[in-house]
Amino acid sequence: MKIKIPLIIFIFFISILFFGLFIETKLIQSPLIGKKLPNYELVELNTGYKSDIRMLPRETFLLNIWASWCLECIREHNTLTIINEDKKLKIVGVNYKDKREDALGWLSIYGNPYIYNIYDYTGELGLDLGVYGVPETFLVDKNRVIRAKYIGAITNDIYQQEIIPMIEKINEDD
Amino acid sequence: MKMIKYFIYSGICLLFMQSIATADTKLNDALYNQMITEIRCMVCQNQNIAESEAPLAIDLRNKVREMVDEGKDEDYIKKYMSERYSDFILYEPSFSPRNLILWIGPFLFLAIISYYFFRRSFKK
Amino acid sequence: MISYIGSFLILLALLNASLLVLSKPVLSKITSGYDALILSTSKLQFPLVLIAFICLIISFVDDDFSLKYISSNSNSALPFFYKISATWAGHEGSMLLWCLILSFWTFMASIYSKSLDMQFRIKFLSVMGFLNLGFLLFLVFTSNPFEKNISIPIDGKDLNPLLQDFGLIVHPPMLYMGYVGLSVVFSFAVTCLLQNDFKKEWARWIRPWALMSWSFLTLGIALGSWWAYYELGWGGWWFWDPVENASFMPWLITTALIHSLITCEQKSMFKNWTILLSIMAFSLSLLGTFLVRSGILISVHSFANDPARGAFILLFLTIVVGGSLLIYFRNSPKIKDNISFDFFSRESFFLINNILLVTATFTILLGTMYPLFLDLLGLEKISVGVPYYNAVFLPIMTPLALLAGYIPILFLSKNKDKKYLINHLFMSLLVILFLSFFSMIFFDNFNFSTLLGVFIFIWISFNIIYDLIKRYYVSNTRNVFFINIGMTLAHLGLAVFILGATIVENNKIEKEIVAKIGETIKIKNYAFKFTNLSQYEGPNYTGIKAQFLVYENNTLITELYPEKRIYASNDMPMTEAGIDPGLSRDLYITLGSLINDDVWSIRIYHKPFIRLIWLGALMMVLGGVLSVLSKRKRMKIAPLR
Repeated sequence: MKIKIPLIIFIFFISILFFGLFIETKLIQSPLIGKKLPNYELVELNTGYKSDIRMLPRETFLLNIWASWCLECIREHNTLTIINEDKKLKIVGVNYKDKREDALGWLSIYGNPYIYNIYDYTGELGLDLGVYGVPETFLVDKNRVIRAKYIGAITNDIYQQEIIPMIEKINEDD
Repeated sequence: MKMIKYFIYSGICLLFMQSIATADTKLNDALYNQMITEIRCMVCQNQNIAESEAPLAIDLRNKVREMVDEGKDEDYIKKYMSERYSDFILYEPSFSPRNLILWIGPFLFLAIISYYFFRRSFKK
Repeated sequence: MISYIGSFLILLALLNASLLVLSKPVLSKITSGYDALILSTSKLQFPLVLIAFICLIISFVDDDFSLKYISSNSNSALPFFYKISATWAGHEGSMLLWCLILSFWTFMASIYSKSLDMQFRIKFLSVMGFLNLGFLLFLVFTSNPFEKNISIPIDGKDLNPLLQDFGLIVHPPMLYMGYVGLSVVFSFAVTCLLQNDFKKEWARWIRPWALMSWSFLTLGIALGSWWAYYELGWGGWWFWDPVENASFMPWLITTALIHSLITCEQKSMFKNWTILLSIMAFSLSLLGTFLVRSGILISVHSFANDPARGAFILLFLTIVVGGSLLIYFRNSPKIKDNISFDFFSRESFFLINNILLVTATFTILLGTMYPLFLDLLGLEKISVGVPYYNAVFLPIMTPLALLAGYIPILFLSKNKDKKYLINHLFMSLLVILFLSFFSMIFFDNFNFSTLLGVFIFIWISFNIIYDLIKRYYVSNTRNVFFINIGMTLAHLGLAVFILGATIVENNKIEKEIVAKIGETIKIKNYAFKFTNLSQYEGPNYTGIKAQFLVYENNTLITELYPEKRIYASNDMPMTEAGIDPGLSRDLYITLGSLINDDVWSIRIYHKPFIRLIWLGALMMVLGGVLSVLSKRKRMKIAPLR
């Protein structure tokens, strides 16, 4: 029948529009997953100590991008504190485009779940990590390869349902 | 009589061209200006980095400026951006198999519709 | 108080529309006097919705924050004129505007359809009634501008600063006039299908309606483009933004429709195709409405996301478009049609014109929907923007532009068609080759795109004008110039547009530099001296204004004042460009950001012939309008049977 082809095309088109309404605006998948962290000169926030990628832990850890001017980071802070107390995972912070005094002040008010913080005043490191909205968190394995990226505040749910299984998967792969 | 028409065309065209075709390309930061309109601002996602005032847009503009000054070409700059932010940040879709339909589609459509009409109209 | 009247009138309008739709199917069984009811309800719709709309405006001016829509889009500090325009700034109000304009076109269709056969007329108005009903239902159930706040706020939020602007006041109504006007053509086409007939006189009847819609669309799009240019601060005039595309697609199809109607009227050909185009044009209008309001695409135009609203519109769209397409496939074989003709004839041109326009429309649709398609498949998110459209759209449009140079063929006798076409084609290729070689050798910065643009301009305008002058000398009456003045002006407008767009995009100069007060920046033979910077308080914002003295060849020609404004309601600073407009070039300055102390980043643009873009568009609008007016004078529209 002559009508078949146009009918199929029409239904196809309407379906795209329909399902498009309900699609979760998926956050952009990071192309850095599976790649090694860039080898930068890293400056520690508190002491100003300069080092590079060798400074990072030799185990699976979280790399958390944050700033004192970021409201969502306060929301996330509880979860990070819990993760820290859980002792399963170390957290390294990257203080992004922030003033040192503001950052240190913020940490003293809200607590410090980080083993240490990298100071990225210019945002160069953030750029190389494809950061576009703080907070963002990377899960990095012991070979400094990025295994996952979480955009937005980490919640307890994300920790339990995504991060922990991911860690187990990484351990299995070894 | 007919030929004169075409000489007049050409003459006018050339006059026009003469007055316009003196754009000083050295003045014009062509690559930089082109690139900043082809990169999406990841914060205000409905703007390119040329028009966005977001801090990230300013950083990215500076980065593009840096790369242009270093003599990097368009491909390098685009690759730099998409390696970190995924293809989404580039307004030009890549020439990959995934985008095949996108790039071929229009011409395929033109071929099909032309064929359909010309067959129906010129059945002799 | 006023808002209650408005609410009530909307419900009345809903009732009225229902009567309009149901009269024929329901009452025709009982009585035969339903004609009068249909005619009156179709006219009554307009005053009902109009007064409701006025009630909304009055509520805005009165700062009636008990209404949710008003408290979200206005506040007491908003300047008076913007309070009025805020009426259609948000989703609910703009939907009411849509309903208003639809009721207006229904009213016009009712008055001006006296020459149509009564049976036809009734069905035609019923279909329009159906559309009115659908949109009013959508309004009442999901987007009622008269909805009350649960608690009345002391003051409202602000109107988005970007919308506090003249261009943005006029742009939506003009665009809607175009979009909604297509409903007339659509309803007419559907009625033809229902009657299983399409007489060629009907093509003549519907053409002015298509032309008016087209003119309004052109005007609306041009206004949007012009607004974006002076407001958004980086001198762009078209972005291939999904919602821009949503307005451009109906425009392209309507252009195809107008040309198709001509063949239909003169040669009784392509009837079914014309009907299909009419359906497509309005369908794309509906699609546009859907895209803007559903939140499905990332766009600068999007209203607030709401999947529920989106679903309603999609349902309506499916019914209207799906329904009309079903009727099309069922009934069009019954319509006597003819689509055979010679390859080397003027009909070919109309066909190629249509093919290219439809392909262009498809291309834009593909580009707009492709990211969504990939996303649904779970594949990576991509972007489709300017580089894609430039690469794909321009090659399709170029032959189309060249076709316009063949208009004079319409005035030749038929047997000269083939010879004319072949000669013309051959000579034009020759000329282009010659010009390319010549330019490459003698001009420093030869740019083929510019050459092509200039050539197309000359090709179209010269062919048309040369032909006019020739016919004037032959016939010796000045009538020659006025008979098809609409067509002439519209195509010349197209040529002017192409010239402007091509030249500015390939020869613009954009310079981004840092400067402090006292410094001078040079571009070509212009010098821009940064002389002052001051802060001031506007009605609802704080502004930083810079002063630049502009010199051309060392003579002071003007002063420009680029600004940065920070509105109380919004964090992001807004840029106001300092523009020196001119037909041969625009000079354009914007203030960037403060680098340190008193050093600012500045952008200066030299845009040659950019005004031709909007001049060309205005010529097209005028051409369309003149076509409608001159036809009405020249022909008494005979009663159609």
